[in-house]
This record gives sequence, C-alpha cells and structure tokens, in this order.
Amino acid sequence: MSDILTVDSIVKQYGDFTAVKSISFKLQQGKSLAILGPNGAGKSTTLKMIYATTTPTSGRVTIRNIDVSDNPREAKRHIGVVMQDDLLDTSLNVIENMVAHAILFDMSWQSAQKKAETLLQFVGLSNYKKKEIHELSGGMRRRLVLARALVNDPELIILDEPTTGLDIQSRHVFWNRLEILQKQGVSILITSHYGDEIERLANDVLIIDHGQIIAQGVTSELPSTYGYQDIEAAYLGLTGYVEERDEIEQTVG
Amino acid sequence: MKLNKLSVNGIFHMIQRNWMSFRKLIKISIFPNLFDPILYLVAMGFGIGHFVGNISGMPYLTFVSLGLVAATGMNAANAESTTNAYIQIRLDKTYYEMNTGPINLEEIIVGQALWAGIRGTIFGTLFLLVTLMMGILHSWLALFIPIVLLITGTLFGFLGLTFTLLAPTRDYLNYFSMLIIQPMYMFSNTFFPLHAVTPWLKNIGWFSPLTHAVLLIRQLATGTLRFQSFEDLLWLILVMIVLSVIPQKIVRNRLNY
Repeated sequence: MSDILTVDSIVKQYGDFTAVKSISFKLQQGKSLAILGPNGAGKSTTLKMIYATTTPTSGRVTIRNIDVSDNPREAKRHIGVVMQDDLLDTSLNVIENMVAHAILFDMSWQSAQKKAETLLQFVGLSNYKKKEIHELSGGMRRRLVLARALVNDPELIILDEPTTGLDIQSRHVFWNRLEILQKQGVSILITSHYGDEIERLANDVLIIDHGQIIAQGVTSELPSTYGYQDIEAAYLGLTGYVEERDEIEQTVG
Repeated sequence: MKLNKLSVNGIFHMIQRNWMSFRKLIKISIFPNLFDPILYLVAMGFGIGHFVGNISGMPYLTFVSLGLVAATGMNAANAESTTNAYIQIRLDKTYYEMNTGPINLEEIIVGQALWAGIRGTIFGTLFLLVTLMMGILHSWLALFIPIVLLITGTLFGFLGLTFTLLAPTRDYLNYFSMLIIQPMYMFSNTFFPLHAVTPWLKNIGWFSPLTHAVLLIRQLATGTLRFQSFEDLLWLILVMIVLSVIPQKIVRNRLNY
C-alpha cells in the first residue's frame, strides 16, 4: 500500500522556542493515524506544517509525493482540513460557505452547488442549507466544517480535535460520518484528547509531548506494549500525569 | 495561468467570495455609502456654492460634485480594506481558512484589494449617476471615470490592507481613518483648488492619491483632458503598484495564527 503522507524529521522553531523537535511518521493510503498529546505538545503545529499554513524550520512533508513546502497549492488539492476552530464565514449562509470553499478548487459555480448539496445531505444538514451560521448549534457547525473539508474529494482528511466541546450525540454522529469515509478509502490524520475517539477511529497512534514522539504503535497494541490498560491510561502515564498527581497528593498531604 | 507566484484563478476566487457576501448586503450598503457625499454635496455645493463663483472654469457645484465622486470611491474602498478586512482577518479568520485550500495569502491580499477597487467603483459610479441627473456631466469621456475609480479604489485597498494587517486592535483603524483618510478627503482638491492655496498645503496635497484621481475625474467629466492628465493616471498606477508590494510582503508574518 502506498504512502499518502510522509513526515520526515520536521522541526518548528519560534525564536528560541522549539515547538516541534524532529517528528517523523508515515501514513498509508486508507489508514488512520491519531496524534495524542497534552495542550502545547506540538500537535496543532505539526498539523499546520502538514496542511501548509506554516513552514517547517527544517525537515520535509510530502503528500502523494508532492513536497508541501515546494508546491503547497498542488499538495492541498489532495487534502481536506477540519481545524480546531470552526472558522466559518458569518457573512455567508450554510451552503454559501460550502460553495465559497469549493470554488477555490476551480470548480464551476454549478458543480460547487451540486457538490455542496450532496455533502450537506451526507452530514445531515440539507434542511439547513439556507440558514445563517449563527443559527446553527455547535454540533451542526462541526458537521458543516467536515462537509466543507470534503468538497474536493480529498484522499486525506486532517482533523484537529474535531469533537472537542461537542455533546455525546454530536460526537457519535461525527464519528459515524468519519467511519463511512474510512470505508470509502479516505485516510485520516486526527488529533484528539479523547481515548475512546482514538480507539474507535485510528489504526495507529502517536503520543507526543514537548514537541517529540514519546510512544507510537498500533492503537490496539500500544497500551499493553507500555504496560497500560487502555489508550487513555497509556497517554496519562507516558506524559507524566501520574507523577504530577502524586506530587499534588504529597503536597496536600 | 500564473503571474510570478500569483495565480489569476486564486485572485479571482477571492473576488468571487467577496461578491457572494456583498450581493446579500448591497441594498443596505447603498444608503451609508451615498449619504455622506450627498450631505457634503448639499452643504458645500448648494450651501457654500451659493456664495462662491466659478472655480477652475466651472461652477462650484460641479467642482465639488466631481471631487466627491472620487472621494466616494476612496471611502468605499477604505471601508472594505479596513473594517471589513479586519473582520475577515481577525474575527472570522477567513483568510486562514481559505489558505487551507489551494490559494496563497498573497493572492488573497491582491484579490481583496481588487475587490476594494470594485466596491469603490460601484459606489463612486452610483454617485456619478447622481451628478448625471444633476446635469453636471458634459463629455462622453465620463464613461472612463469607472476605470479611474477602479485604479484609485485598488490603490486605497492596498493601503488600507497594509494598516489593517499592522493594526494590533480594531481601534487602531480609527487612527488610520482619522489621520490619513480624512485629511486626504479634505485636502485633495475635493472642496477647493489646490493651486490657489498656500504652497506648503499644495505640496502636501500633491502626494495624496485622491488629488490625482479628482483631477482626472474632473477632466473626464468636462472633456478637458490634457497631457498632465496622463501624468496623473501614471502616478496613480505607479503608486498602486508600489503599495501592492507592502501587504504582500507582511501578510505571512502578520497572519501567523
């Protein structure tokens, strides 16, 4: 199976601060990879270097063998991005937000409208296509952002904490749509704070902390490899949460 | 099709996106964009004009009306590239969202400035129609006025975007309007002829892009084009090109989300 994404020794420095310290991994076509890590660990920065809104200080990212730094325009044609914030245009309604993104991929007005209608149906928002953004609930907004990320039929979808802040029903609806995409062969790169989300969606997992990979492996095997019961326990243990808890207990007495 | 690293398609998509947003608001945009120049037209043209004779070979009402055509274009372009652009950049983060697709930030900036030019052309031309109804236009050359408005509006689009990208908060945009745009509005041949005032004011006014736009529009409307008119046109185009470089250079550093 060919690699859709190759991340080779990427580093990101902001002045004296190194946000990402030489991270490398690969993602095969049709597979899903989760990046797990505490706030400030470098997850979002890593994703930004992959979807080319920031450039690596060193190292290389390729999508379908296209160097993202050399040819971001072409690389971005293969991906869809769901960012941490919704970033919807409040001056446009639901379907207009979809069309506005679709035309960036040189789609005709008619094709963009048609594609938008199909995808709104996919995420269960076809009855809301004329609604203004402020009329949508948090869950609806996230589903709209997912639909928007699919307008170019991406081979790889990148999701940065896609279900943070959603209620349980909305999370399940969101996961269900991602599972359908997985069955269609779409590769998924996701960051998350939720163990259950990762266990459900990701074939492989990377745990990063302080800008570097501290553990990686197959999602179902990683906890036992490191001597933990599940992903969440492994994440907490490997990122030092247990030690911090002990310190607090000692302090409190 | 590519121009250096800029894609014409990318620039066009930015204009398309702004048009999608603008077409919903066009009806409610007309009043605020035309109220201000009409107010000045009544106060200066009809009010003060009653006491003033001909200026630069034309009635004062004609002089002020044609100055206000250019000023209306400038103000519309300025609003688009400051307040509206600020919302897109800092609040909705539209530029950042678009940048996840196959369009770069430089194309977004150029598209936004051109859109400011188009908006300036729309409202400047609407005010031009007001002057047409007043019987002020005397030459078919007035058909070229929208081109001057487009160049002027795009120039102010780049200027406004530069300040918007540099502004730490929205309040700083008020300083730009108050210290740069408002003085240009007043001292750019709009309400009185610069050639008749004290030299230092005349020299300062020469540097205002609006001065050259106003001169061109008056000459087109009255059919009195001269060789100097082409110098004014060239001045506007050159300044527009120079000003286009700055926001394209700073946008990546300023939009480090």
